[in-house]
Amino acid sequence: MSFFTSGNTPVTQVVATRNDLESNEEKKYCWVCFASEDDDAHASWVQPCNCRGTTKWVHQVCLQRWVDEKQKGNMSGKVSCPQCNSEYIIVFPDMGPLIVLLDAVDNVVYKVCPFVAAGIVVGSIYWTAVTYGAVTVMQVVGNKEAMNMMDQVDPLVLLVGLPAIPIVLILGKMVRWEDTVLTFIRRHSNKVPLLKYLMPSYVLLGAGIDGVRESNSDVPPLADTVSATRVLCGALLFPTVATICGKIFFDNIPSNIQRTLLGGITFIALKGCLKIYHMQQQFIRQSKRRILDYTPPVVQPDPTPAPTPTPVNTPTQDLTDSSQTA
Amino acid sequence: MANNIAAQRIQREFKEVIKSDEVAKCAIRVELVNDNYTELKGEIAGPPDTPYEGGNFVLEIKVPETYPFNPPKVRFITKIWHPNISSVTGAICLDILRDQWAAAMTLRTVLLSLQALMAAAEPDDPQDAVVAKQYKDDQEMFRLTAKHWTAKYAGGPGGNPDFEMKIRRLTDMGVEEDQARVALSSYNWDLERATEQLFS
Repeated sequence: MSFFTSGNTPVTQVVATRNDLESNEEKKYCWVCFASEDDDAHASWVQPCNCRGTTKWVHQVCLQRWVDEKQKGNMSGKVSCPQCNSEYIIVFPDMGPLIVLLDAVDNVVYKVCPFVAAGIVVGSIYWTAVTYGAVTVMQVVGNKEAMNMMDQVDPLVLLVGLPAIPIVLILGKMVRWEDTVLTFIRRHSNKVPLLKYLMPSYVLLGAGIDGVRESNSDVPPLADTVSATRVLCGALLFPTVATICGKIFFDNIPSNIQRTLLGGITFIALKGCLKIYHMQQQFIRQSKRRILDYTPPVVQPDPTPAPTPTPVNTPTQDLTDSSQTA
Repeated sequence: MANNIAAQRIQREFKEVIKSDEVAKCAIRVELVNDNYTELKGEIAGPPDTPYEGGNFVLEIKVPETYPFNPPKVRFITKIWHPNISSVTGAICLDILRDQWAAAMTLRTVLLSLQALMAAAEPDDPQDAVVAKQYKDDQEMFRLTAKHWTAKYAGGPGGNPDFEMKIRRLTDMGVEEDQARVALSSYNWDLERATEQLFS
């Protein structure tokens, strides 16, 4: 107010600049596409935030495109003005109760689906286990006997007991009894003459060919990794293998279950012995390995290329090596 | 349609940059490279009271189809020694050219921001780690090196006979000049260490 009442000359100046500002502000510029009102008379404008000046006005369409870009597909995401940080207020038209209901259903289905999928997977595994259990019982006991047995037993027991069969088989397969036996043999082999006879190479080793490696516990066991697929296959095929072994070795036993049990025990024992023997031989091979001195390749007159140094643990190398040390 | 928005907007921005005061003061300039407004050439004058003073820095500006919803892709064509600009590729580390871009920004504001970046480096958010380390450890060495690069590549004033001599020593050994300059700059103009690095 004081401007208008004080001197004469400044008044006109002030008014002029104010007019300038106003006309400048009134002419709308879209801060996205930079078009002015003159470029497109029909476009709808919005003033979505606290900004003034050149970023005050924006086309409705341009701002929606910017919001889309910021939301990146998340339709309910919040977007703020990059300059003044005020959040844009986005309203949706009321599309009636049906759309609200459909939205809600959509949302529920979206959230429930992962759980249902997980349930289906677990259920499938369960029923596979039940079926496997039933097949195994029939295999071991015999078809008719198994049918009679399953008719008599409470169905609840069957639903728990049958899937327990593959689980018990897998858990049993994971028990590595061969390791324990091998450790026991290594510890007591010197005292039992029979073992000395069965595993002569081991005793030789124990007698001190390799002084550094005399204590067995220092050497990491070979093939320590348990393969999951191997455990699975071994466990699930075991009843079949037991049945076959029973038929081969104990054909004269009339009872199905006894024959299969005996077959299974025989198989475990045979396989255990072979495995222990294999592990022991691997251990000896590992203990007796040598790394050779480097020798420059000798140019030989024959046309074939000079032989590369043979791998350290080939039998021939072992032989020559032990003969040298002996 | 999207392409149309980008082209239309660049056209309108063009008028703005041409009109602006900075152009009158020869501080920034934008030129068209092709007719469809997708590639532009920018120029920035090195800001005063910096090692870049007197230099003229050329930029490559690529306008994406989604402009102005996504930032333009800008890099330095003129080689420059700066913590936030790669001395090899010219790539720029500046937030508004990445996630802090806003559609209200323009080629003009981008070029002015780059000019501000040249005047005030951010060594804690570096693009070129070697330069940033020198900037933090030895400001004077950084200043001399940046000035030398400005004189060599951006037409800035003043040479550095000592640096020139060291580069010549390396080029006499068969090293390419730019490579020799990068190696020497990276090792604070220690000829021995630069040579070691180049020939190891």
